[in-house]
Amino acid sequence: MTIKTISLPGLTITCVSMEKFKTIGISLRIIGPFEQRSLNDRALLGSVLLGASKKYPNKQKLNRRLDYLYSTELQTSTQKVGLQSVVSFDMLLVNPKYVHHSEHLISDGLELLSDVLFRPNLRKGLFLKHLVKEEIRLLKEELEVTYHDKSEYAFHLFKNKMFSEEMFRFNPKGELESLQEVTSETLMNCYKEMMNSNQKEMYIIGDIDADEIIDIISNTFRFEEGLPQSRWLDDEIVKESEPQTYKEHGELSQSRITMGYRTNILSNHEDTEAMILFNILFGESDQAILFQTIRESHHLGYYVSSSYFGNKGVLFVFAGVAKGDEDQTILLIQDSLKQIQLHQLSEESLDLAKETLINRIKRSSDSLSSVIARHVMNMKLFNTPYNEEDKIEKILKVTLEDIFRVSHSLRLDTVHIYQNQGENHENNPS
Amino acid sequence: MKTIHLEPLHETIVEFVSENGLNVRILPKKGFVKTSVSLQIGFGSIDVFVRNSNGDFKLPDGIAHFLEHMIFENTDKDISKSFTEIGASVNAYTTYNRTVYYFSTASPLEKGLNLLLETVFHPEFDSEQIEKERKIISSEIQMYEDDLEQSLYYDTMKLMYKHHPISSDIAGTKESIAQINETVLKTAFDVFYHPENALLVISGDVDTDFVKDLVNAKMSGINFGVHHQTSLLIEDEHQSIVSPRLSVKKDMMNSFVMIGIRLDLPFYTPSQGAIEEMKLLLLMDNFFSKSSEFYKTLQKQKAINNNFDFSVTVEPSFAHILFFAETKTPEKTASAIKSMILKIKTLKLDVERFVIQKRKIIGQFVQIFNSTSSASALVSEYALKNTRIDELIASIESFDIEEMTPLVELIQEDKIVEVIYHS
Repeated sequence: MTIKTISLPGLTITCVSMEKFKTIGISLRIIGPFEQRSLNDRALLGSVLLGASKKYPNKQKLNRRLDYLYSTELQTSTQKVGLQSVVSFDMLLVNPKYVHHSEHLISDGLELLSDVLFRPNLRKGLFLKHLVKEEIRLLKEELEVTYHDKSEYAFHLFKNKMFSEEMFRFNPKGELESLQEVTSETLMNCYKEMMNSNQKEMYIIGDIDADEIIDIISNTFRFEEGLPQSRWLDDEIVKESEPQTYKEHGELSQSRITMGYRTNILSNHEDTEAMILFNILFGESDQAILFQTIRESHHLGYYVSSSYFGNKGVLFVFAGVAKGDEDQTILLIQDSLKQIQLHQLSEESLDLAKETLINRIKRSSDSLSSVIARHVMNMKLFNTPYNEEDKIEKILKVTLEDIFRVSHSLRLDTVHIYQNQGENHENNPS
Repeated sequence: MKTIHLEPLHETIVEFVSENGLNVRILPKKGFVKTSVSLQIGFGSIDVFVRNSNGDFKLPDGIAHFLEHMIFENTDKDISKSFTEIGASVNAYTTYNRTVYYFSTASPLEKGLNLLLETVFHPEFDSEQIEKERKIISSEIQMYEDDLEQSLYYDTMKLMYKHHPISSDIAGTKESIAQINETVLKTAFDVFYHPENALLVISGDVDTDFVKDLVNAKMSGINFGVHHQTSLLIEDEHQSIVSPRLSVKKDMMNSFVMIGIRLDLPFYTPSQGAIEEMKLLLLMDNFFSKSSEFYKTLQKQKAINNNFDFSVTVEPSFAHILFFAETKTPEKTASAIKSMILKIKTLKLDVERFVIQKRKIIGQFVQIFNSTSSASALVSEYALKNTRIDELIASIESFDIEEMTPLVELIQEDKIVEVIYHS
């Protein structure tokens, strides 16, 4: 693997050459601050651009071209990373070596991306009104689907409670309540702001000739110099408070429990590896304490797990249990944490967690997107390229004492129960 | 050993049959860190009618899935933990036509491979464990009740098929799994868990000769009886659909529509089925893809959103096409899809689109071979259909647009069903 980075005016290009891949990933990222005022515009802009360019006036024409280019994928998404908003255009192309008739596949792909980005189909300097309306409708219906997935919806309700005063409560994919405020004008302002003052980065990965690609890109993509962005962790300060419990109701058979803990250990903290290992031990796998306690010993529910978000310094526990079993489950989850805090954990289980994590890290080099993701985060947080050996060494150094220490950093903030309105199920005495 | 070359993908698949009759495929993937191993048993949720020396009989619905759970529950040791200890992560799933046990690892393959073969072919059925799994599976079934897309699918199957087990939930029902005991599990295991009914696929940066020796050494140490038991096809299936329509009110923001077309195909061999399935997919894609005029019109009329899809399934004992749409106007959307289905008999295929479709499919094959796990899943799936990937790719490249037209005759108006979940 070789990495080559070059800074052009307004655009930083990073090429990662890895022979084993049969596809080439291209990712263009437009980075600005994550703010409530521009959230919906930034969520919609990508699909509006894909929806009508001068060359591809509708999505059918664009999809036809993508299919013609051997099923090239082109997706746009908006993410919140730390306190940054990242609008991405991700393209996945087949490496021309592996198909017939494909001489210009890479330059054709890059040209298509530049057509979409730089040459939108406008009327009187604005995005087409009917297209904007259509994209608002599609996004609205997409956001509404959250409601159909009971677990996802439970998490949405929970976030509104735990993070009621923080940016973390907002969905970077768009906010239903204020979506109708988006117009062709607000989108155009957002487009100009993104093109003129946001930071732009492009990543290309695969079995590629970096110089050749940099050459094509520097001729096809010309950006204005943007403002540098650097808030890659969500370190918004919140005031300490007593844990709160909320109950909300809907039509569902299994009750969903979500518990939120806060920690001061973020991704750049020296204890971050210990925290990741703690999470594996606590609730990430089916050997974890939560799974063993809730499902295996007490036969409660089908799933229980935890996730740690080092980007924000929070840890969530999710569980699905029969109605009536909620209180017992919540107590057992708290007991499970106490168990670790009281040093009830073996050296053997820590070794197992390390093995799991190291394996995961090694395997991530088989995925185009993971290779890019880990490189980018390492550069943003530590300003050095990602190094697998260093990472593994750090993991191996973590001791049980470290795990106990990080377990004490967790403070329960919010307990949320999403359950059916009706009576308890008859076979579950509470 | 037979080596198959996939061009222009520059991939090879090595095939052989091990000691004791296990079918093996190796996909060497140079430079990949992860090795993916899957052991597929030709036992899915629809395989409930069986024949052994005691005659013909029916197993309870959900038996394949229950057995999958039991294989990983061992009284002596925690299987999942054993894999973790050797740097591998293991899992399993059951579909309508197969049970798959798989693991992946960045460490040497040997221990994991031995453990997988031992675990799957040497189960223990302890009555206490059976009770425990019954409780866990009940809870799993309950969780699926909240899954709207899944229950929409089964409601559609129930309208299309009266007796065929494809209309039963893969996990079974609370009632059907109540009938499962040690004897039932043992019977099902003996019928289906034989190396001749199994396929091992290994994909990663491995040496094929080394892997071959490993598999042979392990397999020769396991005793199997003679395999003379089979799953029966369901030939006495009710010929017409059960009912054309179902409409249910649900707690949703948008409505869901599913349209099913039951196809009366002759009893195909699996490999013929794979080709017919691909042709039908091309035919449907020609009229219903995201590049189609139909899609554009329906989006313009606000009758569909980005959550629109279709699929084609052709199996030896059943075949159907399904359409799924999320919408605010379910009635209008359902009738638009149905009238388009009937209209395609009178329409000509889009020739330019047909050429693009072939490029699209070849591109998708290349993408699949970019990951050891998706490549091995593809190889397993087509092995069950008795189809070689290289021959499939060659067939697709040689498809002629004229061959597509007669397929529309398979669609009969009285075999179309619709299920609507109203918001």
